[in-house]
Amino acid sequence: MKPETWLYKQTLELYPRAYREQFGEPMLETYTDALNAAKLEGGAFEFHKLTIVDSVKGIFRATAEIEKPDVLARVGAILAIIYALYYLLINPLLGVNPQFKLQLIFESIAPVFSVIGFIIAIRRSFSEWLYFALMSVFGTIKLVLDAYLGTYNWYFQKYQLPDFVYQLATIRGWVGWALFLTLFIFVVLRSKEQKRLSKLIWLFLIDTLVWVGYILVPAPQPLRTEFHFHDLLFWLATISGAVYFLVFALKF
Amino acid sequence: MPPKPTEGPPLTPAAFHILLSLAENEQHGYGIIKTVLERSGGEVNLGAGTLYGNLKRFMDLAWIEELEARPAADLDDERRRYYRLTKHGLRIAELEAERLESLVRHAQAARLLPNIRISTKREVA
Repeated sequence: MKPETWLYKQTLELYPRAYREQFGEPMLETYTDALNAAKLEGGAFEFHKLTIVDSVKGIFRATAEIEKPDVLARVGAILAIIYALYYLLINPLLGVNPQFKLQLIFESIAPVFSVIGFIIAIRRSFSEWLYFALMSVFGTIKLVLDAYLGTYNWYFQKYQLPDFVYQLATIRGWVGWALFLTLFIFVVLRSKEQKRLSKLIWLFLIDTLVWVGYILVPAPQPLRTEFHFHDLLFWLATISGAVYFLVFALKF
Repeated sequence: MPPKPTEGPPLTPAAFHILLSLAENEQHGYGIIKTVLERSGGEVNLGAGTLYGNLKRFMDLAWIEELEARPAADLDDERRRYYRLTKHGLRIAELEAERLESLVRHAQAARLLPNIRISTKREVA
């Protein structure tokens, strides 16, 4: 199998299972035919561009139609892939301090494993629990590692004032994670009791939304955007997971 | 999923092109892509995701159906799936064509287009 075809086959895994089972094989067949034709005509680059855009649109559309509650989680998975690619391909070019090689490796690999875990999880019935367990572990380890390696101190040295103010948004991530883990335990307990969730869960929902707004709409304009990009992607990925979890939780 | 009576024209250009290509004869996925690309003069270039997203919706709405057997089984790749229009799908395509024809007439009346006569389906019959 050609590398492009193999990659496209993996992309098909991001479609909802029912959709994939019905159309996965003919889609791969159609893709292969179109790829061969594009190569013959010398338009492979344009074809790959079309395929990337078309796949992202197709995954979102299929997911929205078939498995609405999964949309946010899939957004999280896609963002995690972008995040991983950013670290693998772009971040080293920015001249990251060698002191943080370990962190760089962790932050490059962890999202990939998170995505793989997610893909495995959605193919099984216990999807929500495995996904959130992975996200919780990943997020917590990242925060601990950040503090241990002093990455944020290094960031601060590079920052100018507006960047520093912006960074406050991500410091709030600690609080967010604490709330997220509390919520996780809370919902597990409530689901066992099979009772209606108390009003407290709405406070968590509001908190999550405020958290999103706080990160997405920072008042100052960051001057070192390359440092903020990874934070934004990371928190979007994790927040989307948290919101998805809330959607799941509110089903009780 | 049963057909939704409210679904129908106006269709997106991609959706109408797909129905048009299936109105001529049954086709497999890549065949549809090629036909649409040629007919639109390269303007509508469907990717597999868009194509099968539309095909799924059309199947849910009973506008098209998948053939049980491939037309040329001995000459063809066995993984290919062929699709054809149902009577309902043909009616939807006709309704969309009539809608577009009506738009063209309005454009002609407003002198945006030259007044070329368009034969209606009834006249052709």
